[in-house]
Amino acid sequence: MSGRQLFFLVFCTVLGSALYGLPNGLIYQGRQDAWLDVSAGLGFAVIIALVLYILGSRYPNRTLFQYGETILGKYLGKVIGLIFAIFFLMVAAVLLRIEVDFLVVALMPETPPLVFALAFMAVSTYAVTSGVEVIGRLGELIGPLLILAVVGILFFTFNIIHLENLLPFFQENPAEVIGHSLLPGGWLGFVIIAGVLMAFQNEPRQALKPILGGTLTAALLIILVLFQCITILGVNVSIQQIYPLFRAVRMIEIGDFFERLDSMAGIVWTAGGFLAIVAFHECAAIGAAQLFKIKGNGGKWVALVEGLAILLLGLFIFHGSADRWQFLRSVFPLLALAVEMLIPMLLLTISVCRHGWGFLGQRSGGK
Amino acid sequence: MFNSGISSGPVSGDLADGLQANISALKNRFKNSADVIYREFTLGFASNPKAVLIYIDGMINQETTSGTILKPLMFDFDGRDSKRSAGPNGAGDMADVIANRALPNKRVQKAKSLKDVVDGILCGNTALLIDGSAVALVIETKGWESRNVDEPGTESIVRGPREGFTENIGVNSAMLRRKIKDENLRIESLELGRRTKTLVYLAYIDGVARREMVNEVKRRLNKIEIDGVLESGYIEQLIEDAPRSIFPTVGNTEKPDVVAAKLLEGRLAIFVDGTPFVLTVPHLFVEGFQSSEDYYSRPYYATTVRLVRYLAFVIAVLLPAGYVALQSYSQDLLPTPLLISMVASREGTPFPSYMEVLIMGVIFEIMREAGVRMPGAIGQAFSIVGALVLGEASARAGLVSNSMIVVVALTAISGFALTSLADVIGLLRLFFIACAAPLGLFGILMGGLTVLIHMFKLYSFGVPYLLPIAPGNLNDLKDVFIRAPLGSQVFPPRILGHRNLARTTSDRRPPGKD
Repeated sequence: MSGRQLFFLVFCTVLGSALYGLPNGLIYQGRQDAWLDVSAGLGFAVIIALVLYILGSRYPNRTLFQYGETILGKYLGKVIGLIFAIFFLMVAAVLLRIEVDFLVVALMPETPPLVFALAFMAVSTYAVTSGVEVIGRLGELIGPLLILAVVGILFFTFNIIHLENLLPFFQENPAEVIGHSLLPGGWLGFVIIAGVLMAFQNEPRQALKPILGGTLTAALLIILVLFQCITILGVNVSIQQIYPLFRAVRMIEIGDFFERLDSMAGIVWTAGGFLAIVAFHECAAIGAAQLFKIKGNGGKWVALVEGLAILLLGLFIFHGSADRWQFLRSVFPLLALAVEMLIPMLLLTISVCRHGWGFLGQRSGGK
Repeated sequence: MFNSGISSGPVSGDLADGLQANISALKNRFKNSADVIYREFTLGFASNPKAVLIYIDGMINQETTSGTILKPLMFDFDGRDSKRSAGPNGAGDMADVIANRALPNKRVQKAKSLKDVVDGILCGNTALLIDGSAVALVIETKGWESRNVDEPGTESIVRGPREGFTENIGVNSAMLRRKIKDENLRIESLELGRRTKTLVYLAYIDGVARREMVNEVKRRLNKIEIDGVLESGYIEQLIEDAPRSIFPTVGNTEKPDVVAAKLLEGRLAIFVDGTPFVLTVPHLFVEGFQSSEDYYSRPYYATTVRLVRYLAFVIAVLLPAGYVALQSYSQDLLPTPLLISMVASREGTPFPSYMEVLIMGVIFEIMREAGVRMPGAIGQAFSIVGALVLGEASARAGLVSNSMIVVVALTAISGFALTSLADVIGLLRLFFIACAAPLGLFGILMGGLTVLIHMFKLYSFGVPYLLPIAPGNLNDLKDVFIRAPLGSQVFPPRILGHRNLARTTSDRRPPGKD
């Protein structure tokens, strides 16, 4: 896997599902200052990325699931690894549900959700069984498309934006910013997948740039999306809409001929969201394979079983969209940040206490 | 050395001394073969030993045989030379003397076993057996009727050489040699097919093609075990990386300039006797979009044409599926005026749009196949039935909508723009229609992702099939969607050839601006 592939994979994982998962919630929390919350949330993501990078260079060619065992010993380490694996599985299920809900609500209301979920997980399982390299190349192809889809919108919106919607600035006090930054922080913290994928890098020591770059680009585009929603729709309409960006794209008209481009944009975003699901599915599968020492062809069965698990979990995890927003706003940020930030930081602290700063991992030899 | 690891049948045993014994042994081998000719004669004067020429009628060049074998042996050869120089082994050296002094032929080989003689005769050579000698001479006299060098039927061009390969492998390899006059051009031979004993050449440029790749191709060729190789397609299917994929990972061409270009990029070519189609490996997806003419015309136009080809590919693969998706699920994506006229044309047609697409698609495929196979004389009747009855009348009768006929026609024409990818396009089109019918645009997306994942997994002789798109390589992308000016394509594609091999260092500044 090359640096560019890691960059786009991190980027797509963070942005892919954020396009319709986040804007509504963020604007609801922060109104015109939502971009401030995202910027603060970026702080969490940068910390996570740095911690992962230091861990990765201390234990090269190992994944997040193996750090625990190396640092804390067999049993405690397995527990930590299991927490990560279950977290990945859960995030994949949440993302799947968000995707499927979007498709049902916005694109094809008469098709049962199960059909979408089944299609997603079938293709995702196929991708995961094909290996990390294939997923890397998929990211390399979908990533630029996603950037184009988001930035491209900008060029067709000049006639419908109202910059005055952005005012007033800086209404939030610092405490509010910190509180509101948890949701985007948890989302940007999806960079955690780099902790697994870094191990498959050609040059792990140069992984920092793609990881940070991917997160930063995704954060910038999220802010851009927020601005697009607010300038086109205004804050109040954005809060009322479940998918404000989707609604905003619907307003675009090019030369009296191309109108209602929302379903086209929705399909491109779905590609990004799909990649996010695949990335978490892949990481969860790698985790399970490493924790239970499954090798060779067994890995395909792990992918299949996890695909089924994500499918079922995704279908039954929420009762409805109200339930989903409740989860995303209250439970998700704390849970995500605990797993994404606190545990890696804890691992790094213990590692430093045990081995000191200079430790580079090579001398520990094999397992 | 590059020897075929295949033993060719159970023929064995050495030649005997006596002429009659050898003749009867050979007649026993070629039982019931009326076309094997045994021409008995006496060498020079009456005192000399008898001899026999054995060859297959129609596979030899009569003039060569009579002029370079029969005439010198019957009239010019007096036998004294042989007696003077005959060593203690006597007649055993007779063959040597004849080969060295009496046969003005380009290639003469000595054969000691019956098998070598039989193989030689089957290849179109002439065998000379001399009484009292256990050594036969196999003399090169191959020469049979073959097609002249002609313009190839499958790859038409406007600018560029018109010659195409023929069925004769010797002519084909010579055409390549004439293009690349480099002593590093290697043409290694082997024989494939237990019964057809087809001659196969492997061509590459030493120092440009990577050694590992050459070895890998040889390894796969040597592993082939089959009774007959009648066309290069047999070999293609036996050496390709993914025999179960719909995508071809071995390329083929009829044109010497294309083969030469591919060799210069570090690829390898496989010539097969009896077919004008030469295989090139490794074959990447983007090669289907490149034409030799792109490099002969100037870059801007070539780039435009190449982009048009990609567009044609997308239309040919996705248009019917997209039509179904838009018509059945995402009508709102269509601009209003277009939507209105499309709905109006569908008024009163009985089938759902995916059925229409399938029906018309199948009918078109049948027409295409019939057009390829039918005798030329009934072409006019065929086009009347095809164009008027099926197209015009079915729309008038309200069986299919007019817009559907436009879609099918556009799809078909786009498919013709990319002949080398025609089979892939046809299958993908069906696949995407199947995706779009139940799930609309989402189905097309998921189907597309599936195809992409499949393509990411494909390799052609160790090279990722989608290179240089993914994994991306900026240097090589200069020859994918665009065709950069020749001066900037200074290196062969990275993964194919050696890295530091500049292909051109020509100064491209306009004259007079130094």
